[in-house]
Amino acid sequence: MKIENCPKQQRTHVGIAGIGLYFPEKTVDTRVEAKIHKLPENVYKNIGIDRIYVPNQKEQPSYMAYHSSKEALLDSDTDPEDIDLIIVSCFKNDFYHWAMSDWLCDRLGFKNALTIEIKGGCGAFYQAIEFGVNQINGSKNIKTVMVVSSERLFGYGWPSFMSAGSQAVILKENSDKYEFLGFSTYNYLKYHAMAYIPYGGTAQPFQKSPEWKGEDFTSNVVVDRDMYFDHIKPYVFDNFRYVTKQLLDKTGVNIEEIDFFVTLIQQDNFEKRVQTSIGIPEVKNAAEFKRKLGHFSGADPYVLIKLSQESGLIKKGDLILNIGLGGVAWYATLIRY
Amino acid sequence: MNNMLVDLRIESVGLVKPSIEYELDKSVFEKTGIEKVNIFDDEYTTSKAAICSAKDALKRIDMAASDLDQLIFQSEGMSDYLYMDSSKTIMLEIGGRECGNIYTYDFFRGNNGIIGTIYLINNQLTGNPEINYSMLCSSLLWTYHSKNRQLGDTYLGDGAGAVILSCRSGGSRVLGLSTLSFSQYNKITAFKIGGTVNDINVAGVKAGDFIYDILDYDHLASMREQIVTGSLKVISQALSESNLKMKDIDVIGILGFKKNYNAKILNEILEGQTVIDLLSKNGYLGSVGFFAVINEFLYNEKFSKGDILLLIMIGMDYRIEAMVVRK
Repeated sequence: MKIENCPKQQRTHVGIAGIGLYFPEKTVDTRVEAKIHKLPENVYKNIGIDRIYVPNQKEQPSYMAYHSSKEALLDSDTDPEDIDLIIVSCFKNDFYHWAMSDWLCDRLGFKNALTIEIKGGCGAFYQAIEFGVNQINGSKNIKTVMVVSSERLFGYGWPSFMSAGSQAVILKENSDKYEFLGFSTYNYLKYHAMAYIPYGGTAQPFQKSPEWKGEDFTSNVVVDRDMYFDHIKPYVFDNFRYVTKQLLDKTGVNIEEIDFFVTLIQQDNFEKRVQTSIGIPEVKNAAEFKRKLGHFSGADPYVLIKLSQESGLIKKGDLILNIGLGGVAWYATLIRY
Repeated sequence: MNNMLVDLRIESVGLVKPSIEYELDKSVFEKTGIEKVNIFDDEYTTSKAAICSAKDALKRIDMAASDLDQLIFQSEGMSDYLYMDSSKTIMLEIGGRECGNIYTYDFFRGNNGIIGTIYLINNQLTGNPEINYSMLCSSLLWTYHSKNRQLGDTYLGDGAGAVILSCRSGGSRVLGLSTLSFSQYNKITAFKIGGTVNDINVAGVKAGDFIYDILDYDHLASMREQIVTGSLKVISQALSESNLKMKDIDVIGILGFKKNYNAKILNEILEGQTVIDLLSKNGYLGSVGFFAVINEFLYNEKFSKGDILLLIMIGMDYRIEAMVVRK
């Protein structure tokens, strides 16, 4: 079969018109949690997070998403009836295989919106933003897209910095608040089976192997440590460099032009290590905020962008480089404020 | 939304129909119109079935998997493993590119959302310079993740399908489509455990609660009242998008979950067209139903080149969708 390119629509400017955030009412000092779990001091220090959010029973992902979405609508001065598409990216939803996007449509009055859920972890939010941008570029019917993440990660995989909260980002055609300039990805399919839960799926259903430990999934994850240490860990920073170069080549931007850097909220000095690996060790970042937040999802960078903008760390015209990874896929996006 | 599509083509379809036929009780047939369902044997997993259908689609047009820029897996059923991307497994196993700038997604849009996804893929094909060929596939294995295959009013059949989409010339053209969501009834179906409200736990596993089932019967009851009028609205919209009238349609494909709704809808629209209705011999196929009907229309020689299909999809769901395709 002869391979041909599809004819493309004229690309429009897509901007991030608004960001809404929801944080649970309760927080916990991670030092207190570390003592309870008898965490060694050096391990605790490496986490680099002082405070994380603890959701109560009412604060399920949908509840938090409702509130972050409302804030995003206000932040972007958007009428609910103007939302053309809502994308929910949620690793663990209120119910397994339930569409929060439709629930939000109903509760928020999105009378005209299409809906979709993009499944996955941190990477799914990067994908969801890019998918939303494609929709605006590719269709004259879609001009406003809401992308929502909402997670209750607190308590998973301790010792860690997992937090809870929701983020909603509104993408709009021709919005000049934050201009979305480009996206790149490196998808390392070959080693994606590095971590998985052996039981419960069609490969080994519970009826054949009723193995389940504890009251959540984290005790049931099996990690192929050899695969991780041989094939993934050695290349983490290579792949950050790859997606950065690819993105800068696509957008015609030089690395020296980057004014601000954001990434996922991870352990102490993570952003510095990434910045050093890609050649911008001295560029400003949002690390000052992360110690009191913890990790939410792939939408962490949008929390940091909003807090940085509100505090004056980001100024108009700044080029913001957002780099992250999820599973075995690396992502980079470029935004101008 | 009007004028939704820009030159979308179905390049190829692949389908896997399970080999085990399971006849249902006569009382089930009388209530639902379903005589039997098809079941995958235990050699199959979700990804294995999807991979077979994907390879089938590629082979039909002699296309290399490495020429796919994107693979989307969309299913209301269970994957091989909890929380692992099926799309990555499938892309790898069919011989797609192992690393680099490849798009793989796992989507969810209920058990009746394939056509809406196809519209969104259309926008990627026209809006993203890096995506020119996109595969969409689905796979459903219900033996261990359903209440003995019963879902509300219907019975679930297994299957797997894949479609290759592009916006280049050639292929079968999608003339129009339409989608309608009654979002207020969003809790008709879900897995009973596995979310944050009621996570997978030892007691739930032992009780066999990790199944796809009706979550809210009030939502289901309310949605039943919308099925026929909603379907007629969606059909009208799809025809309008295609600049066609019902008399221009040669074939009607109807994917439903219960015979009485299918009959009521057909009664309203039929003007002598041939009907493809797979319910009786396959059960309710959910997302896979799309591939089954399109496969039948495109590759059964009784349908001629140039014939136009109107496909209506009515789910055990709050969404109704329709698409018009020219062979």
